[in-house]
Amino acid sequence: MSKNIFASAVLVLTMWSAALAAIDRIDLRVEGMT
Amino acid sequence: VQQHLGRLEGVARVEVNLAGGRVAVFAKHDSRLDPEKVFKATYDSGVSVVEMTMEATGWLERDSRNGLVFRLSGSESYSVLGNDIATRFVNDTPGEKVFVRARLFEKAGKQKPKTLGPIRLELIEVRKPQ
Repeated sequence: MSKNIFASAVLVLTMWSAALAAIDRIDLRVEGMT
Repeated sequence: VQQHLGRLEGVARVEVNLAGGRVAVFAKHDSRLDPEKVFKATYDSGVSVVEMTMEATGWLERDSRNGLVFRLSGSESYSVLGNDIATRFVNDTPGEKVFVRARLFEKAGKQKPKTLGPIRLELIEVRKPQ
């Protein structure tokens, strides 16, 4: 029981941490756009 | 350009500045934005990329060969061109999450590559995330 709770907590923390690490935006300078 | 990029997975919205020749691609919350796909979709839309930069949050680390990498997750990381900004930050605040603004691509000569190819980030700005 306690192992399951611990595993769930680790999973939630891992997902939360991963969600915060990301590419937020990409900026492009382009040519040929009309 | 707006339609091609707007269809990509993970894209929340696309802002186009025709006069300045600039395009901004914003990621959906909790989604993964793939620079390679953005580059390819831009090329497929009929325009060529002169410069590509990104804003991201992750970790600056050293890999097993002591090279600098910017890590987004356990499986996603980009090698980083060593410069003063990168070296100072990775030495001063190891293991801390950071916000980076970095260049992924800059056109050289008359080449018009279809794909982004291997990415080496050139850090422009590094700071603690807000």
